[in-house]
Amino acid sequence: MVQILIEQAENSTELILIELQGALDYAAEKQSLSGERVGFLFFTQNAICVIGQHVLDGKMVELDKPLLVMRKRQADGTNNTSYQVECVIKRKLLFHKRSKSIVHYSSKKM
Amino acid sequence: MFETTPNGSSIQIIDCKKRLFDEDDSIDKEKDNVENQRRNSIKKQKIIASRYHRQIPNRPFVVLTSHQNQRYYLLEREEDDDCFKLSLNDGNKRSLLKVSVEDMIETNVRQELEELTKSIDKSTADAENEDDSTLPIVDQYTDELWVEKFAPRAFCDLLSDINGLIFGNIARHEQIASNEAHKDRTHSIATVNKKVYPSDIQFELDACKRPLQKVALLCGSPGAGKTTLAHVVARHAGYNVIEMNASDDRSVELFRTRLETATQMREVLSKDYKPNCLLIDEIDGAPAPSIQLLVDLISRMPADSQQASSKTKKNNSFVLLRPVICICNDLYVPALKPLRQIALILNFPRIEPNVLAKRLLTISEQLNIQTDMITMNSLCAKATCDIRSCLHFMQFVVTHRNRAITKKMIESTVVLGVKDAQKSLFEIWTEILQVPQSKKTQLTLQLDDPLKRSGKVTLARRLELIDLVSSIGSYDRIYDGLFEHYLTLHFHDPKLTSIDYANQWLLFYDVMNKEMYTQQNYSFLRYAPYVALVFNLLFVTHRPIQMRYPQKQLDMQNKLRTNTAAIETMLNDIVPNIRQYLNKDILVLDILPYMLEILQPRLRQTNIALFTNKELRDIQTLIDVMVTFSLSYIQQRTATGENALVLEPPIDAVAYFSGSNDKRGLSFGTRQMIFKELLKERVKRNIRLKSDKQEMFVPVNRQVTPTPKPKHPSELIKLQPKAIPQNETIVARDFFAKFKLGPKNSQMTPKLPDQIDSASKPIERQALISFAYNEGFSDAVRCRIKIQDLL
Amino acid sequence: MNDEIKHFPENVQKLLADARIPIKQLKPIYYELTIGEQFPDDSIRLIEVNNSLIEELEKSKKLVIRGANDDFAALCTSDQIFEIKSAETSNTLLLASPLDSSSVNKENGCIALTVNSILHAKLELTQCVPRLKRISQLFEENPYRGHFDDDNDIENPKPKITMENIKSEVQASDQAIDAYLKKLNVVTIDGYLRLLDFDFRTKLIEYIFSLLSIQDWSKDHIPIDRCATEMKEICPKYVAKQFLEQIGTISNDGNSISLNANTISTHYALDLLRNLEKMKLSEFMTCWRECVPSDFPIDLDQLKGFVIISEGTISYIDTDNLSEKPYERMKTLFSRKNTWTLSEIEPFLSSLTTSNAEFNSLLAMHTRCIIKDGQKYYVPKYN
Repeated sequence: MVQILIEQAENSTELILIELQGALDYAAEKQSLSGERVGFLFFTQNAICVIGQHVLDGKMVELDKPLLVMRKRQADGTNNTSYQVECVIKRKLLFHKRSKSIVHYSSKKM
Repeated sequence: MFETTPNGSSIQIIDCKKRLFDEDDSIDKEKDNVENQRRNSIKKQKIIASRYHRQIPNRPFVVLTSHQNQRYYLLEREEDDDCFKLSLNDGNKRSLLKVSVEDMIETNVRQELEELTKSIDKSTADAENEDDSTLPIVDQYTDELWVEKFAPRAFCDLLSDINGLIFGNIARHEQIASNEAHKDRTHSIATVNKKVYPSDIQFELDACKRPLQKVALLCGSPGAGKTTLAHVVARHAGYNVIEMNASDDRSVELFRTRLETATQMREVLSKDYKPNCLLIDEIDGAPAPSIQLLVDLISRMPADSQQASSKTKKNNSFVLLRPVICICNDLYVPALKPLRQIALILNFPRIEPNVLAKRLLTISEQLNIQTDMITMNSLCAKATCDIRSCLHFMQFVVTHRNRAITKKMIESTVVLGVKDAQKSLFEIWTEILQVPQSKKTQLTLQLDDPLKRSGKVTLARRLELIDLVSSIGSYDRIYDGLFEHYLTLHFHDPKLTSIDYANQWLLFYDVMNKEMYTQQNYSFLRYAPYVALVFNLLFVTHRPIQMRYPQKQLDMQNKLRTNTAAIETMLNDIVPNIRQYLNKDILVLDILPYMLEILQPRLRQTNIALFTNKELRDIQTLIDVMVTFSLSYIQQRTATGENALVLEPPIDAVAYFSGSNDKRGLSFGTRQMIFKELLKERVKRNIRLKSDKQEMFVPVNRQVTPTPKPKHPSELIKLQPKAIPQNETIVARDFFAKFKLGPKNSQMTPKLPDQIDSASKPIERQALISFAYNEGFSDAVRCRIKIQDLL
Repeated sequence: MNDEIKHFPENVQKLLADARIPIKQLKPIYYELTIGEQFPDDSIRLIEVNNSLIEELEKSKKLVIRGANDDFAALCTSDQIFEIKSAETSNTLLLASPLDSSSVNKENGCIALTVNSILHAKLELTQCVPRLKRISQLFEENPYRGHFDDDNDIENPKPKITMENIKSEVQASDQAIDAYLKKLNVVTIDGYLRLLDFDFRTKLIEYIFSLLSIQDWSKDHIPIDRCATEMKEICPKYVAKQFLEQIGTISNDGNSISLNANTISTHYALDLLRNLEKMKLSEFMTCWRECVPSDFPIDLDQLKGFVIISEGTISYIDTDNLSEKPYERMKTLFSRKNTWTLSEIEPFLSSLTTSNAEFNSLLAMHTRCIIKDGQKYYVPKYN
């Protein structure tokens, strides 16, 4: 019998939600991915995301319903779990168009 | 009828005791009466016992239904049963009536009619004897029919105001009706039933047979009484006859409105149980669009009716349930073709002159006209058995002169009112190939030798036939018909001499025909009718002939056309060096039958890899032949809906007689295999042709080798290695040009790290995290989660 | 080249060139996404909420997820309850947070973002019905019957229930719980919640009526304090006070109450029916009229949701004991009565649904609608 509290965190952070239509694959052999580069984000009127050999076109989209980012806090044991709301997300970067491949044809000439 | 009788009749109590058991009290009341009648009743009982039957007796009877719904057949009263008259005269009306008043009247009327009919029919008794067994049943309905006829509606107004003629009419229709019933009993009885019972149940029963019976198409020679029969039958069956004359209502629009009117009126009238019966007279005179309209109306019905009947069974508001009777003289008017296919066709048999003459004689006896059999016979002959004109003639004579008709009068009359004297082709064919009924006896024993039989046919008959045939004129059609039928006839001819003889005559006709049409020498035309006479002498038979409209000629023409087309296509496509030795006849007669053998070798149904050497060789030749003669298979859907590969052009149809070699063909799978091999071989040859061309340009010193046996596979092997080294570099370049990226990358990557230090990092990283795009996405899955999942 | 215009590092420029991204259209700042230190961070959840919940969160600073470990999770606010469902998506959700401002390399126009969690699901909320059944189950074990039996059984102590117990155990909003407790006539005794026994309530009501006639109080103006004092013979004053407040409406000055006619009449009716299988409707009406004091109106409408009237008989049905599963509840209802009108069946189903649309779909799923004499009837779909 539990009550799990969801509380407003004292210091809220700012988070950006990026939604990709597709999956990220990680090289299996490397244990920790920390510090690895995922890709670059550029902005024109819309957004461009470059991940590996793929170029993705996307845009900023307002969410229908806001999303709460909750972080689980376990004070002592599992019986006292609570969640802290770190951020309210109201829009996201959505990359849902077919990705284009980068073709390294001009690199020699440069 | 029993139900209507008052309950007290003592006679009934006695003879129907088991039925009226619970009415004992009425017996008590009338004990005195019973006492009085005791003596009579003993006698009656005997008579009664013999008069009531549970089964249909073979004497005239009246049908009775008891309260218990049991059926009894009461025999006709005979002269000696005066006891009934006695009881009728007894004072007490209520108890003494033997039968109901209606019954009495009915019986009386019937008796009178019966006597009339008997006297009239006596002369034709022979012909109608066969009908006697069925007559009693028909009688039930003819009861009403007589009453209907006595109501002076159509006949008086139509023909004349002389009373006596009514009998003539009735007699005539009786004859026709019975003829009709007799002749077409087997297949027309259904229509008769349909017309007789206008009840809904009957319609539903009919519904399943409807396609056959929606329309009755009566046809026959003029004056045979088609219209009258239709009227009588329809009205007898309780229909309200709506007659329209198709040849009057020429415009399609008018025709349509009339049709629709007949349809719409039905709804109003359906309540008082007098549905309409549409009677379309002289439909052969209607324009084709009108008939098409009618056909559409009829054939549209089944779908509608199914829908309607599925919704509500009571709903009989569709036209289909109304009978349509069409009447025509000539069944084979082109416009009638669509109707012919869906209608029930009732052919009126031609009336034999002597039968008709007897009838006419009877009528004249009734009317006190002095005449004799010979006169009547000649009258019939003159009028070509047109009853209407005969009667008109008699009436005319009687009203204007005295009550005597002589042969002279008939002979002096130049033209009788004949409606439409020309005979139809069918009648002519029948005339030629079938022994007329009156002459049956003459020929029965003379069927031994067909060639000798000729002597037995009278000169008059021969002349008559020739007149008949030449009166039509269109000999081609007549002989088409004869040719179509003569082999199907039953004639005794073990040596086939008569067929040979007949064919000679047909050839003779063809020769004459050709001469006539090419040289415009019409003097030969006069010999044309004699072929018919020969056919008559050779093949005339007693058995009824099932006549069909000749179609073989047309069929064969079509077949010839398609076959010729197939052969011509084949000839056009054959490789020229072979083509030069071929023409149509050689191909059809000498090559195709054997080629088909080659094209259909014995093959097992296995994979091509498993074939024996012989089979492989067979296939090799087969494909060789097919390529050379540019034959192919094309996919077609058969009538049963299966896929099939057939030869293109369809030469197998040319070479084989139809129906003889159906089973022989290869299986679908084998054909498919052959087809694939064929395509492969074609491509190979095309390539070879090209490379041959290339060869032609370059090597001058190798002139000797190439052409004579281009099909040999070793040739291929020789040529190919030559071609490939030449093209190799080009091909290779082409190949890699599409994938420029590949070699460049492979070439570049080793250089890159040296060139640009900073850029090396991202390229290294790319391997670690990469992106894979998904087609579409889904987020429709929802599942409830438990508290513990959140802990 | 474009080096003068953009200060992007060379490798980025090369990348842009390879990707054929026109540099001129780009805004001068770009972001570099890197995997963060804490990756993968499993403690992060995304939950989709509506704006009212955000307001609620800002106001009360908390939301509560209630239920036992095995229960499906339900999120409760002060007045609403939501079912929590997990929505899986095939897309990848990256949560990126900007690092400290120090990491912004102004010269390059590069801002570093760290990705600490990659998610494939979010939580969604759908409004649902409070599951109050457990409350009555909790209380039924040990109803309160007056002074005498109060906690006498020391060897076998009955479970004591606090408000906190209920709130952690029952998946319902606070408001729903409070309303339900009032409906059940739960009173606070010695800091614990106790349910007043039905017969005891009858006793109390009778006593109040006798007081009314003795003291000649009007049923609309009963002085709370005096009445509660008078009732101390059968129960403590604070119990009586709470009870009075539950069966009546407190006047504006807070000193007197007027008895709630509906509550009283219904109580008598249930008193008649609860121990009987069924009763003839006409009989019941006369009995009921006799029981209830004449200045209280009686009407069958008052009993909606408590009784089933069928073929001239009336019988009691305990809504609280009906199953919370729609199918089983329907089955029970239709076993009691075969055809229902909409207004008859509605009170029994309203506790299963939150909206009208949901109610209609529930009916459509489990019943068949027939129209007889212009009146709509509902019959079971499957026998």
